[in-house]
Amino acid sequence: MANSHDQMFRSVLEGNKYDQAPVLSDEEIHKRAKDIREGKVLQNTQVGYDGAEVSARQNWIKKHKPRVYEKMMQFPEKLARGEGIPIIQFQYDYLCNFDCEHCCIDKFYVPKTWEKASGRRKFELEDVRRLSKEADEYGLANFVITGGEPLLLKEFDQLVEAIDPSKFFIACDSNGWFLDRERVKHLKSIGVDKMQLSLDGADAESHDTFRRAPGSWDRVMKAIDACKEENMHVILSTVIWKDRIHTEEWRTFLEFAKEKEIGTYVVFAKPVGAFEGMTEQMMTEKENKILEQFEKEYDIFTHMTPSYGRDIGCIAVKRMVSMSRYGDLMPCPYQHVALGNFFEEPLADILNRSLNIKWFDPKKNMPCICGVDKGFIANVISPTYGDAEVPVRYDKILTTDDFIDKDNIGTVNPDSGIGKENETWAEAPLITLKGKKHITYDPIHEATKGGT
Amino acid sequence: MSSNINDIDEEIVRAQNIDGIVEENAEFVSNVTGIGWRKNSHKSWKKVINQIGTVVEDEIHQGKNHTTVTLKAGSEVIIDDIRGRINPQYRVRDINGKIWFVSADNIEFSFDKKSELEIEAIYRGGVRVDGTDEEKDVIPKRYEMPLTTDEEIKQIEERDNNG
Repeated sequence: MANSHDQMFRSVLEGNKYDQAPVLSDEEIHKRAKDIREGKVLQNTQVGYDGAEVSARQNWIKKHKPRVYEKMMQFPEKLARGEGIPIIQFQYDYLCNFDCEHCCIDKFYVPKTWEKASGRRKFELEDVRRLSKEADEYGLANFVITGGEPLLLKEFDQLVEAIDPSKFFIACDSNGWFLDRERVKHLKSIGVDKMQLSLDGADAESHDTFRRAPGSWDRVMKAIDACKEENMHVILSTVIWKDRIHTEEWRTFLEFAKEKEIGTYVVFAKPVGAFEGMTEQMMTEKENKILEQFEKEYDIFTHMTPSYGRDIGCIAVKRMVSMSRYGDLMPCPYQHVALGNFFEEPLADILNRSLNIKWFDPKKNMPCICGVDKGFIANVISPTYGDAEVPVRYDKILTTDDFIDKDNIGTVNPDSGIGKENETWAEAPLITLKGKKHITYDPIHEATKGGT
Repeated sequence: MSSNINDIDEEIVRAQNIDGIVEENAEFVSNVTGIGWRKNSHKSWKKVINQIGTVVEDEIHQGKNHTTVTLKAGSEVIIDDIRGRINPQYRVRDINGKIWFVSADNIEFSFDKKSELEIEAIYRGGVRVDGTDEEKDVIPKRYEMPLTTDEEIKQIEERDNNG
């Protein structure tokens, strides 16, 4: 498939170390200073990144997408209040030209003819407009169009239009097969802001084997160049597993990205989808420590990388949700649990109920629960394995004990609690900045420093 | 890809001139798990839905409380749904009505017998109701859609063609 479907990306406000972005003008600097003094905008805090680049990206968004900027500036405050600010990872269609070995959503694919015959309700463009409206009203600002391979869609342009680029920062996952300069130029013109290209090897042999698509490495190389040449915001996404991090190939991969001046989103292999139940190659604490060292040396990041000045831990629901082609809202691409269905309930109702689930508690800094928490995998993930029809509806898995406020449990049977203490949740620390480098962002100082 | 795939989406893939990336029966061995994978052709979905098939090899699945359950080789099953493209699986019901998901490779068809059973109204994919019109009303209708995407695209094309 085109991607790992773990396609969270760092906040666009954090930018990419190598991305070109306009700088603040003197006039804008003074305006920003005035706004901060008057309390009109928050003095944003960031973790570990250079403030000048952040301000440049903020500036670009403010100029070109003022509605998006307005919403994003509310994010730190919303997080502080315990509200969700999820990116919507939109699985509009599962059609794909690749057969990737780690594909986590293959079970969701249904041939079009049978989909039609079975009467499944799927997203139509009108539904997308409704989703966009409700997401905007909830204060969300990011969409990632994923798949499948989105660039295969005949109605891709209409899909972007329906999401509404004026209201959302729109990223698109791709395997790069169909991406040349002309296509990049066109994508920019219709409002796509960022491309995430999947690359899973430093050489053609390893990438093509993983993607099971001969020639795909050459294609993605051309796609990277096309994005760079057309000044499209682009990052790579790559899957990491236990053995890979110890290989020379991994180091070569990172050097390649560095040479290309392109940031890399690192996706942890998880025991779901095609890797269902396979835990041998999952990352452990040891590999996580090694990866942290690589993070210091290279421009790479993971879904656990802090954003908006806060280390929120697992970002499921809080910072990302996956919307299936059939309207099922899932906590992340790997948790095949339907928290509700968009065709049945308003988006806000589903999100608010989901934030009331202990595992997604906005006040708790949870670990990557579907990657490392064996209790969570046993109780929540494993019921989605094997003969289960995915996604499994939440009320078939969760019990009253999984909810914080017992008055907002949706259709869960109130007598379904098993009385088992949720240790991970109980022991998880509150979300803080503790243990992380915390930079208080001063736009005036940063923007004037070094001529930027 | 094989010539007997006639689904619309596969046609789209062909139209995009990407057919043949992976030749039929091409083999890959994973660098991650060491497991081999072979591109298989599969039968047209339309031909197999509601057909009676025979399980080729024992299907051993995980049951409750760390037990396993086995669908024996030679069992006759009714195909009532399909999922997956990379590793296609038939959703089948055994003689007792139990639901199994079986690899498309592990079912043989004679095509001389066809199920007389109607597909019951069932949940598919968790929340979606399948089956009769009456059952479809179980899903609350939050709003009506004036047009499907296909109709909308057609309108746009017609408008563009008419200048």
